[in-house]
Amino acid sequence: MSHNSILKTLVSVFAVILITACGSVANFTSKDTFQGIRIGDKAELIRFPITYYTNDETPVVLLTSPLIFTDTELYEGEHTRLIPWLNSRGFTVFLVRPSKGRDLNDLSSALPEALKEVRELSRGSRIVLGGLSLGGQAALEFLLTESAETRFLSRVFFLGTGFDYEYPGSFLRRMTNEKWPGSCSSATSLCSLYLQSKEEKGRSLKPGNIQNAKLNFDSQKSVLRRLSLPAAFIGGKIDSLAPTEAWFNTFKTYGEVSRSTQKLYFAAGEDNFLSTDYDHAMLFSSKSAASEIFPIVQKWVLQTK
Amino acid sequence: MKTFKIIILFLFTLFAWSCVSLEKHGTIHHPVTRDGFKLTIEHFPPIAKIKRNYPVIICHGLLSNRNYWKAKEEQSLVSMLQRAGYDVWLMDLRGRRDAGDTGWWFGDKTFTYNVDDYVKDDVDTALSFVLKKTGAEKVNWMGHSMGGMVAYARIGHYKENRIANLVTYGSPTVFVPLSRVLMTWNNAAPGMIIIPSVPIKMAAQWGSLAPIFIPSQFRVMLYHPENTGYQMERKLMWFATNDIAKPEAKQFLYSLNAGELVSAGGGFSYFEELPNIKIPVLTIGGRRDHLADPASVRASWDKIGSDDKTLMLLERAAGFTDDYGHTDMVMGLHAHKEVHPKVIEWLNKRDTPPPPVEPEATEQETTDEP
Repeated sequence: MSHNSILKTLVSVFAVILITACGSVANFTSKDTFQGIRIGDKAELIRFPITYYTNDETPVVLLTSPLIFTDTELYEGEHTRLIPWLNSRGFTVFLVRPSKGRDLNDLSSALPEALKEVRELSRGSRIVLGGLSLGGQAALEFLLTESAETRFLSRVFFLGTGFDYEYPGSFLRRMTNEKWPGSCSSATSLCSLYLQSKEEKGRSLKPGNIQNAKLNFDSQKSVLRRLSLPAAFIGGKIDSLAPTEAWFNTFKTYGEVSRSTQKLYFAAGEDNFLSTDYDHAMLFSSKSAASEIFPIVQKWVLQTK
Repeated sequence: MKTFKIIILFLFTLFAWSCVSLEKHGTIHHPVTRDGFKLTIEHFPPIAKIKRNYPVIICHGLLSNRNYWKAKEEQSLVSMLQRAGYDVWLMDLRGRRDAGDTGWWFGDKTFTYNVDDYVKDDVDTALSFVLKKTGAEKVNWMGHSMGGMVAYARIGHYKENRIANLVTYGSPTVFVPLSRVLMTWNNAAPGMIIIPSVPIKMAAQWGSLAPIFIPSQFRVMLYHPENTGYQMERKLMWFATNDIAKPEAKQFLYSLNAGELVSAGGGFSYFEELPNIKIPVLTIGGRRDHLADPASVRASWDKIGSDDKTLMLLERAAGFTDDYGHTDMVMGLHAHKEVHPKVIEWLNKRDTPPPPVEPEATEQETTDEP
């Protein structure tokens, strides 16, 4: 064999390995990488390390469990999910979820200790808090405590989180009227209605377990107005579980006292030049989320001003 | 020559194929406002033996006229109300073509009006005219988009008391942060310096030849295509669009940026006066409405001061066939089966005058009998 043909063969083999490796990095979800840390008896903190090293000073992302659907929807599946997507772009991700039988209140009360653990493990990196689905209520609840720990956060985002369900026909009102079974995993038809995608047939989130979701945060309005941590509110245009009418007021009120509070409002839909209108399932588990939704999260997380 | 013939044949086919018609017509009237603008009000009398108490005035929205309310012909809300026994008065606000074309710079009337003029004069004129014609004390008002907003503004700011019941379809008084499409319109606003109106009608009528070629981000602002149907899209674009007067567009852009419906120049907020509305109100919002986001519709509902206010969101999660967009809640494929019957049912329960006040019982005086 001539030198040229050996070189060509080596380059081809290397290219095949690289392409295969890139594909597997994006979907790298080996259970061996999970490192769970107990947070008292209320919650558990799981670490998903980066799978792609970058020289940039990327912040660490602390996510709340979505609760209404299972955590596995964030890192397992036939196409790219949020956590591996972030890992493959140089973000170490921590996920905090309540222990079995615990509820939203336990999740929010576990956050200060979880954040403390994350700080110790990430040594000086910026930390961004991400509230996912109804688990985002715990993130807001934590910010509203104005505890000393919150000052270690550089920014926050809420993805598909509703905060204000006090209107007729809202998701939480309907669940309450159905005598909230405490668990969407009992797969009531009502839960399925909200967790199934109507846009992408066959797309559905596996139901989870949530108790004590809040109908609104009205009692803490004065504190909400004072918050100054940069916050992004991202939701689906046709999301019925966390519709815009369930988070617009909270977005408006957030940080109202200071005009310089940095906020982002983004309803994912065609009127924002996306390929489609997003519902709840599509925000987290559609093919298009990886190219249209997650980059919005990434851009927000990376912003420093 | 052969190529020329083929082109002519193609254009003729396209034109013939794209022709749409509007068959439903009522009796036309042209009342005149205080400041001399002609309106058009089309009368559709009831065709059922049921006697209703109040006539219904129906008002269109921004960049449009009354035609889309009757575009579904016998399945339109107009026809359904007639069959339910209501006396229907379908109105055009000023500046619409059936009352005489409005001139750009020349002519009797030009594009110099804004939303405040609609609220102050057009609504007042329509109410006075219909009440005089029918002998009724009050009306039921139904408005889509801006057609509902002007009613909110009229009642809230002018304390209008001639409206008994109010139904609004996709009518915001609060605005969520601008989407990228609306931001495009906002950024193009300085271009209005050279023209007295935004030429929507011409652009829409050209677009009606083949709506599918219009970028979907702009179509979806007005309706959800899958829930509207191709024929209805073309009808909407050909018959139901109207130019926007520059002052009207400016007031809307100002309000969009202010986050709520305000008077021209921002003197006062119509949104802040919604608590003055004490009559029964049905507010309807579409889950896929990109112009009147459900968050905006809900905010209006929250603010209205009435004890009898209903919020109805047209979404699949609530059992509707689809998530409704801005205009398909009026003329969509399923509106006649799913939306209008609920509206009429709501109205039927309230279309009654209050019971007469019984005089207080007094002691009978004794008289000396002869």
